[in-house]
Amino acid sequence: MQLFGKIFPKALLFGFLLSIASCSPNYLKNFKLLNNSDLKIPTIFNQDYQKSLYKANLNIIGKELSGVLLFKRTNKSGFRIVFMSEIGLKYFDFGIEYGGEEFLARTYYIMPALNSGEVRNILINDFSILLSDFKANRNPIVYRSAESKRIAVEYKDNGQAYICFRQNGGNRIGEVKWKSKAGGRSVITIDAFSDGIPSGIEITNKKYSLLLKLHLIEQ
Amino acid sequence: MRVISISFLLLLFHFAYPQSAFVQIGDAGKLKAEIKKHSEEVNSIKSDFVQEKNLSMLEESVTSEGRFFFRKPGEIRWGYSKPYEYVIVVADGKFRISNEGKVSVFDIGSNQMFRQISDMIVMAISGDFVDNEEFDIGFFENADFYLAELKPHARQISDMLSAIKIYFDKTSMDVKKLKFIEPGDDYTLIVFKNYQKNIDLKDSEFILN
Repeated sequence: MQLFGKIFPKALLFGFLLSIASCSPNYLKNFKLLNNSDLKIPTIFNQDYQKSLYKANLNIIGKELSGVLLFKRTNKSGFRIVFMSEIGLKYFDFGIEYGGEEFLARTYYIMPALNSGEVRNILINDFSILLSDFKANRNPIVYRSAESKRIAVEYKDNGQAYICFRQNGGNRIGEVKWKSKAGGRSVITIDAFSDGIPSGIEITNKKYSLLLKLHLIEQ
Repeated sequence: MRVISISFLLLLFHFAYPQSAFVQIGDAGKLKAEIKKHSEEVNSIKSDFVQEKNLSMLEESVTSEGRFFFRKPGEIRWGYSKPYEYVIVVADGKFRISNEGKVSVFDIGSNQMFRQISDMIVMAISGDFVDNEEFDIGFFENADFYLAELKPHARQISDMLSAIKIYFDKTSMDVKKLKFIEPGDDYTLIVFKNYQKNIDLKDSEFILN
């Protein structure tokens, strides 16, 4: 019992330290603050972007949904995101409106199987980053990797810290990483662009075993 | 002036009584028997199709194309070729899906949603729905088509679909169009082209590896 009394606080402390370490994403390891940079975050989609259609595969906790996903600008500061099966049945239909300090999201439809836990919030949050014009991004902090010279821009929005990594040698965002208590870590990866529109996008969230893969359908 | 008046009247008549307007058939007994007879006589179908998913609030439509095969009692191959490759085969109690070359197999009996989708496709394509008590069925006609409008009773289906409209060619009684209407008025319209029935279909059409 005495031994338990000695070991338990240490184990507790070790567990606490371990949990802190595992919660702290080391996204900016080997990156150094770049002082006096006026670098802004480029929008992921072109400023005059109107719409695009993607072949989509969504995996959530071992279940897979496939279909097509449509991004469409509905007004100067708003978008709709509709994901439907190949045979036309809708999985979800979200609206995102920018303009204020925080974006406003609206769920027009979500199939019951997807409307549980944090899945809907994770998807909406990630889409809001993907389509953002980053105007709320007032005080970005710019970093550069000492080794790869890769540029990373950190900014805060909706109480979350997001880190955008620019593609090597380009002025485009290649990766966005963020973390929230409820949703865990999310990573958005963009592998290429076609006429200013991402042609391949991957959204991953390990906590929810969520993986959304999008491939641009050229029309 | 007289010509203008007549043109105006014709225009008014066109809007008041559009050619495509459907009117309800009061006594649908004869039509039901005809649909049933035609359904019994069709053993196989091969047809190209154009699918248009219409998102009403967005004023947007997504169009895809493909080919489908049907063989009694319930084998289906539903394949998209544009703008993506995607094939569904229903055979031997299995639902097989090829998504960009990756094949997944599901047991129809183990998944109620798959079974319902499979039953609805067979029912709509073959016209075998006249005695189906899971739907309220209304019958309509215009100059070219008979229209059967099916409204589902089951909550699981009505959450996804508010109605299914099946359009039959008045001369051949072949199914020419299918319209799946969702709550909120979005719909999927499937128009069949190069429709052939009662032809020999190879077994390989219903195999997906």
